[in-house]
Amino acid sequence: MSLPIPVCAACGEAAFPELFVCPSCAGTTWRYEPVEHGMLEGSTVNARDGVHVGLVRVPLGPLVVARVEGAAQAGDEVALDADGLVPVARPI
Amino acid sequence: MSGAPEARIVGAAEVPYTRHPADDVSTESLLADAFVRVLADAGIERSAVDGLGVASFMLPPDRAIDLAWKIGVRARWLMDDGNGGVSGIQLLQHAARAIESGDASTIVLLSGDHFDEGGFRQMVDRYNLVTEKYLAKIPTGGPNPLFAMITRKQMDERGLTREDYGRLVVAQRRWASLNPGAVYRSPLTLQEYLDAPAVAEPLHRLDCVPVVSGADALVVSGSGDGVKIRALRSLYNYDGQRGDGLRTGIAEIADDLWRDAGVGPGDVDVISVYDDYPAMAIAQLDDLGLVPDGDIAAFLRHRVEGERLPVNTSGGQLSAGQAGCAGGMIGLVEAFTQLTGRAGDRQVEHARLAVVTGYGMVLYRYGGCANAVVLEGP
Ligand SMILES: [Zn+2]
Repeated sequence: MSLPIPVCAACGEAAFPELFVCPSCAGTTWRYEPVEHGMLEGSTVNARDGVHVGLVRVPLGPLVVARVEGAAQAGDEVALDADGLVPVARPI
Repeated sequence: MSGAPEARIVGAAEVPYTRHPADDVSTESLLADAFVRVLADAGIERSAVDGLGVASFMLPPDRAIDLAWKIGVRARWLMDDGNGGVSGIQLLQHAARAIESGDASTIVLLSGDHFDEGGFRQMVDRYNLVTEKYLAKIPTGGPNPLFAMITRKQMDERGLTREDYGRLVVAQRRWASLNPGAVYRSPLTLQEYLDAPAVAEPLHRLDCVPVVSGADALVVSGSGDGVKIRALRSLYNYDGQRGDGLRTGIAEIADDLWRDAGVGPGDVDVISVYDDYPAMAIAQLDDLGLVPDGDIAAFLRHRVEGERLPVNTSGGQLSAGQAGCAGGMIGLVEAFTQLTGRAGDRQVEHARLAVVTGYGMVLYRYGGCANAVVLEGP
């Protein structure tokens, strides 16, 4: 139960999604750090299909667009997971 | 620079946008139609055209060269640009430089798209690789949820309500009611705006541009009277998607733009901002410096609603719909129409200066591209 976040091996800058050249140090080697939770900064619901979409701030810095499953509200800590490549946020 | 030609816009045209085009309409037929119309508007022969620039999402696998062949243009300058909301100003920038450096003398710029239902879904889900991999499978169903969350953040930070956004939408619809070319022309009340069904809170149906088919065109020339480019600035990938999307790249080019133009935001007579969503149109108005005290709600109430500030006087995309890449040129065509005094019932009196912005290309969470131009009438 975690979401892999790309982190520059040279300077530790985190990005999401993955980049090729680090925006901070121009490094080109990336490792992936599993992140288990973050803070839901905002969310909305697509009226057409009822899918909840949220913005999650991960502790490493980046804002991640996630599918929100379950009743989480802006300001809540959420658990992060990945469905394939897709970030998923759930209430803790 | 004595003797070097000065590029001017000498013609503009729009193939009327429509929700339900005829069966034989295609992206290339719309672009070809725009080409024929803009030659007529500029009063030039096809044989005078020696440059062609094309912006379209759906034209591929064809490119500008295929279109050049099919519309019979023998070009010394050729450019493809699929950068959506910034493509019009980007094409204009490069065309003007090409003319001023002698690469070409008369350039036609075309932008437009036709979508069928499947084609639109595919474009939305494969907008770029990041969308395909990280957003389409959520599924976000396109950019609406992203801009819903940006709108919510703008509401919280700037103290805005849905009524405030509605003032801009209703004002644009009032302009559209005076424009025979707009798709949605029936006057709109604030209550109707508020009552429209939710798309993704806080966005409702009238906050989202409908998908239409259509095309726009410009002629840029080194000779003849026309609309002058006083200043043009661009900024792409301005923040590496590390911000909140509320401040566009326009904020970072505005000072240079106004300095180059030798005028300030209060001096322009006509304003066209890229209006894919009211929140982003408002962000660009703010970034341009049109809201000097930062009180957006008061600006919308007093300047846009009360004084009928000429913002998106064609009705904009919110009243015309979004014809793909044509959305990046619709503001230029309207500014040209206003500055040449041919805007009919919606003509802004004594319109001499216009500012037009481009915004867009959602890289992940918001648009990564911005540009702006200050135009001066003949
Ligand atoms: Zn680095």
